[in-house]
Amino acid sequence: MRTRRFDDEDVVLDTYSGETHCLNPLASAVFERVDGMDVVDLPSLCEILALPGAGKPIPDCTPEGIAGAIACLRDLGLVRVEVDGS
Amino acid sequence: MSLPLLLREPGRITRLTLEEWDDVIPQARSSGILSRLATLAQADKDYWELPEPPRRHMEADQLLAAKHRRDVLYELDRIYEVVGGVLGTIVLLKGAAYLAADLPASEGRTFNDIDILVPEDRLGAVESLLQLAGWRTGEIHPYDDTFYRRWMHQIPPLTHGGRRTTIDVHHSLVPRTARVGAVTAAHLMGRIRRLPDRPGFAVLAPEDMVLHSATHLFNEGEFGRGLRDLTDLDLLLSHFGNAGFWGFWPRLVHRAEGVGLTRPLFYALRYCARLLGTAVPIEVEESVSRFRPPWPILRAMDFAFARALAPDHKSCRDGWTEPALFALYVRSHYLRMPLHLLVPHLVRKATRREAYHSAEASA
Amino acid sequence: MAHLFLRTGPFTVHVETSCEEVIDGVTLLYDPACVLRRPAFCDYHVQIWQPPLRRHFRPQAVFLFDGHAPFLPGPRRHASPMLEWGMNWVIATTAHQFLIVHAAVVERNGLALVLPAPPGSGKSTLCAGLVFRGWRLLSDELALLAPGTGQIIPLVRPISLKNESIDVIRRFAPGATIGPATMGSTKGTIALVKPPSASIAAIDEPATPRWIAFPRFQSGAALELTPRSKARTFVELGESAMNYNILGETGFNVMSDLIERCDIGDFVYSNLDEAVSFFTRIADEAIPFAEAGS
Repeated sequence: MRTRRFDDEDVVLDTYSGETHCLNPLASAVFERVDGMDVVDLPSLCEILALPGAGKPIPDCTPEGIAGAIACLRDLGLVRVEVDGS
Repeated sequence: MSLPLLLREPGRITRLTLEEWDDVIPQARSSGILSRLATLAQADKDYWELPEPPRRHMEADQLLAAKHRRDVLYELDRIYEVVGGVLGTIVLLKGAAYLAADLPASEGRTFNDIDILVPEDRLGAVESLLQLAGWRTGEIHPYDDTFYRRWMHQIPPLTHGGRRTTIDVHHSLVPRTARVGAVTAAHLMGRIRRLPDRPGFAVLAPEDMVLHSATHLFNEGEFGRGLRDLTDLDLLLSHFGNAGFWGFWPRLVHRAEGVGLTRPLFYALRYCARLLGTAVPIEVEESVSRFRPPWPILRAMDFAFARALAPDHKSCRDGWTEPALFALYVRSHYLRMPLHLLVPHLVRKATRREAYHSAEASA
Repeated sequence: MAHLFLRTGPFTVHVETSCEEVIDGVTLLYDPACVLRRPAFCDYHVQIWQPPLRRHFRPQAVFLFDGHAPFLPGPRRHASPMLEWGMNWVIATTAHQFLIVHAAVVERNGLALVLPAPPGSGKSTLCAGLVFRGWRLLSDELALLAPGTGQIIPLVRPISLKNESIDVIRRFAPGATIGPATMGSTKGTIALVKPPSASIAAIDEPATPRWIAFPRFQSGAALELTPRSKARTFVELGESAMNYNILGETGFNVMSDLIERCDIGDFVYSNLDEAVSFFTRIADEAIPFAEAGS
């Protein structure tokens, strides 16, 4: 997989399927953190993403939004992570 | 400069003039073997001294071939997801088989569809599963649909709605109605080779792979990729015929006799040797010469196949090319169908073509 | 039977035809520097052939590449634009040494403005407008991006105009050489415009991409340039590019570099003069898109 970030959005090339995906800021932030993981604790992930940090605040950064982003990334075949806890 | 000469004598590649390349590149592109030519050229240590323009064309075509390879490998996994359960092992044929088994015959090749071999009793289940997963039979005249299912060795091709990839599901290597050859899936299953690097997939035994390729080329009357298919045969024979596959040649001949495909084998070895310089052992040539047709027919076949297997380019055609192709087309139908089916079939096809032309003329 | 040898950017094309419309079109629209004597090697051999049965009644012409017809025949009066579309098709389906994006490209001060757009968006009109006001034409249809350098390689061929654009450019650039307008295809009325000689003279000079603007002509609208998501632009350009998928990782890298180095925006205009002045000012004064506004 190859990834390139533009501002706060990622473009990801899935070299296996040949598909290229554009991830919105929330999906990009989630992808960056769960890529390569097998299981993630949802509440912890939500806390980390909600931290001010550098850059703009992430839109739709709710537990539902984050869970939805993970499901979407899984459907696209970009991550294999399962959510633990809610 | 002729392309077949280059394929026979690849040492000439690095000595071609630009004018000669001006003939060779279009011939190779039209014949679908531009990337294959690139692979041959790159085997020469002086490749980088070739003039740049033809090199660019060859290398660009290699990128396309690489893309095809990636797509096929991805598609194989998708197919396995759908029918792997009901089949257990998926038997691949032709290009997809060469690629999955990592054979030299997969080099520099484009792949238009994926061919699989399925026992007849699983055909229905496989077709249903594929359709549920998004593959569809394209727009097909009901006559052709019946034709495929009743008489041919495959069901009509299925195309995936989203990815536009095509899968051909075969239940035999030759049509049901064929006068020659008894090679249904049942005959072949006991001899398949599972692929350790690709669990769930298998390919035919080497002799069966060669016979299938030979039968497809010499009995099925379609020569749009004639030279390319001949180079496939050359690559298969060269690979299996070398020291690593002990006993291949006698097994090949014996198997051809066992399944009644001696004539296509004869032609395969004859034209691979003559046109592409394939190294066929003398004793094998002598052994298959008993499968030759009567002398007048052999002369006619030499004449016709010389044209059918030439590069698909106007510089390689003459006034006899069209009649030769037509004769081979009729012959292929004769081989595939008994007379009482053949005549009505050809008549139906001809009247449909007439209707198309008159519709076009009035447009 | 005429044999013409045309230069289009890095490619030499052998055109074989007996079709008067094609021969006249080349004579009118191609600079002599691009019409060669027979070279030793031609990149492509194409033919515009007239099917004998349709030579007199509703005459047709068909484009052939190496003797094979990639498209259905069309009316013979469209033979000249058919040659242009045909050559674009051939390049787009074979020249995988480049990433080929479907866009017009013009250059000023060494920097390139890329104008991607679906047909009918006014891209060619804007392209022609810029080209006749001091910008250099690199291509009106295919942007050839070189992997490694990321530069755009010129093709420089006649610009294809449709319908109202033809009159707009006739008025905008009275000195331009415009071929006959041929009517009644699926694309409407078409005419080809000869590129200025300055564009031809620089046919071997690549340009560095600097701006990507998605143009849209909208009658009566105020001129406006709005920012665009880079990531989304990446994917859109990839989808409309002729060979992005074929190039795999290389395509991804070339596209990434292109998107990275360019200002990107959506551009709406209704007045060609205004639009041309707007981009010229941006180029001459090095104004970032974010500050250019409207």
